[in-house]
Amino acid sequence: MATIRFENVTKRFGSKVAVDNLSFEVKDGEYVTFLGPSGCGKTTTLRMIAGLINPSEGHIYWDDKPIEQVPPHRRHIGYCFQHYAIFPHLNVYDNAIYGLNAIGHPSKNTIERGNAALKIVGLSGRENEWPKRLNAPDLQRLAIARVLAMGSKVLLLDEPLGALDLKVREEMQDELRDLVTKLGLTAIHVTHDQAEGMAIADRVICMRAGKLMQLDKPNNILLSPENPFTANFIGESDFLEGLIVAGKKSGPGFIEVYGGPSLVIKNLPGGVGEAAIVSIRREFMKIESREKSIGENGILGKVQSDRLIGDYRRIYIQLETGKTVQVKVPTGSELFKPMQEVFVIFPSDLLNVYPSPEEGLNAAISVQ
Amino acid sequence: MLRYLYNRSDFVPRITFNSVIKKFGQKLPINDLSFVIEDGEFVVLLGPTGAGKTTTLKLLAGLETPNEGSINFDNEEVNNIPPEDRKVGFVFEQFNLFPHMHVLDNLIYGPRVHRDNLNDARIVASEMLDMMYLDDTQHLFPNELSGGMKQRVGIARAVSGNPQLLLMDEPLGALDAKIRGSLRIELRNLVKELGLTCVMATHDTLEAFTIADRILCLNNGQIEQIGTPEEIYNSPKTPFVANIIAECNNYHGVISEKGEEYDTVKLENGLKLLINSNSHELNTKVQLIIKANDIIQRTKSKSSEINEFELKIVNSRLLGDYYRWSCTFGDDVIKFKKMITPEVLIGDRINQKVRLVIPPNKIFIYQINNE
Repeated sequence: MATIRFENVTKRFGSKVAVDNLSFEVKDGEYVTFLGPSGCGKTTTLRMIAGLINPSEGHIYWDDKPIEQVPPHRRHIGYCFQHYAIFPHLNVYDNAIYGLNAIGHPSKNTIERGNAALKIVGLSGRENEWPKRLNAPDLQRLAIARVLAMGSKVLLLDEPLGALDLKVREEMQDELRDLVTKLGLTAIHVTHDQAEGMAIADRVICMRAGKLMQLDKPNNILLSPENPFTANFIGESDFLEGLIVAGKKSGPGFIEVYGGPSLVIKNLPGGVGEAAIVSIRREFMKIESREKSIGENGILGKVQSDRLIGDYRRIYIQLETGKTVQVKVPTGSELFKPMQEVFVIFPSDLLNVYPSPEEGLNAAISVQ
Repeated sequence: MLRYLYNRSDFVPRITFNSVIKKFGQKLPINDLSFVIEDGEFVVLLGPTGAGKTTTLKLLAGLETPNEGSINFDNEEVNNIPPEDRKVGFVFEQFNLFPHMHVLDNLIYGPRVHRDNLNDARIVASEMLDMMYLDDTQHLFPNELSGGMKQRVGIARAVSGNPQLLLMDEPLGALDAKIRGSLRIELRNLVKELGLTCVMATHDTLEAFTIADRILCLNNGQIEQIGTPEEIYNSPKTPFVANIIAECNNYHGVISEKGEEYDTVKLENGLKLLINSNSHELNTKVQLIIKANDIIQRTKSKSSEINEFELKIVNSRLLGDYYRWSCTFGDDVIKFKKMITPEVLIGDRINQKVRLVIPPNKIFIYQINNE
């Protein structure tokens, strides 16, 4: 079993708080990715799991046993770095068993384990080759083989595919995912690439400034972000600010957008008189021409520009509230002319609503 | 602001490359390049590493000299004019700010070296910092700024040197995806507001489409296509261009039957596709390209639609704003994708069957030369 649990973990470097009161659990056999802007504490978290650094406060548990006192080489955790950390002066086989030798593993089944690990990643028969002869995906496979040879139950991956180009990266994502499932490993994977984080994971942890913003399945992160930051960070969303004018908290009601009409809301974030934020993904807004639309849950606006971005078009619309939104529509759908008056429709079942953040909307969604 | 714009608007050049060749030893990073960039135009050089993008920028800046051909700014040949006399601003991927100077000093470094009037330079620099939302950072040092802010300073510095031509080499390459997205739009607005001619290199297709007036697709030092985003997306001239601008399915085959409305192509994967009838003769070897985005999924079969297939899903992947499926297609696979909606996210999964239609007018046909 390999369940990793963080309980109120804080890590400070001097006066800087890198990880701030973090609690979560990664279940046995689960594949979890960490997403967040650079400096959000992803890598620090990974290094604490590996034991390379210790928390300043709080505890990390492996199957309910605290592991702060366990040195890194006794944790049965394999760490794959972005740049593979393959030794150029050792051949493929010696690289694969390097970890075993380093912890003084008895030599009798070293050969067996080295060979088995190389076989799993598809490098059998290439034991005597030098790393400089390997291409990037094979170097990555070798780095994984080294971790497997150690018998690690937990695989930590820090931007493991960052150096590969897109097509190979996607193939390696599938391969990595299959491997982890097949071997029943628990995997924790840090990436800056949202598509990778969403495609490969059972669950995604979204982080910001050392804090956990959301831990959920990819689809839930996309469709129901828990806070404005996640809504903004994962994909693209637009935000409207307004006031709750009718209804009760958690029930249906209306939010009057500042300078605009009231929108029907299914699940109010507060009571009447409270400020609120409405967010919607840019793929989910609909545009209807003013003549043809009755404008249900719509806000009137003027098209500023309609730009082809390849497989989709991005339409900039200035709403009557003064705010400009960007709507993404599939290429091939109806074209809009600059200055054309349209309704932007905000379908109520695709809206996410939040209480107005104290620090202001811009600060709440900032990634810097 | 006004005064800044007024000072420069007359000087923006039209740029011409006439059969430019650049050699490094045996290598030809630029191999017979001819194109025109109109004054005030924003052109993006799009291509993979090694395509010749950076060399083209260096030729424009005067950091490299052509071995053959000529480069003109308006009617003047500039082949032998050194960089300092060309009035170009350069933005680098790695910012290249002076770490020991605060932001304002970084901005007026150029004018200081040129012994220009520093008071004027300071005024221009402050205006630029205002435009780039950097007004509070004048006296900060580069290591106190985030990546996005550093590059804003890099851009402000490049334009406050009073350039006629702005050159940018992967200016957003070192930034987080999210910041890159917002800076793209800002960058285009800034260049348009200042009315500069601008040439930017990138390998990021989304970036090129978001920013460019025209995109110049480069490959192996040669132009594959130059055109507006619409022209390039709707009619890619070569398989290289098609594959760089969108996720595509590529199949090889032979025209096996000519018809009035449709020709038939027998694919190497064993299947047959109908394509719009065209001038290629019977038995011509062709490459067919179909964008993953152009394939239509039918929930119910209309009777005998052209190029309709029932296929098994073998892979599916959430790409962020898109969902993509791969299906077995003869001995091969075919990929199709859809923009995400809640329905798409709970939709078809591996091993399910789907009904796909490939509209003949969405198939790009390229003749394969025999050699």
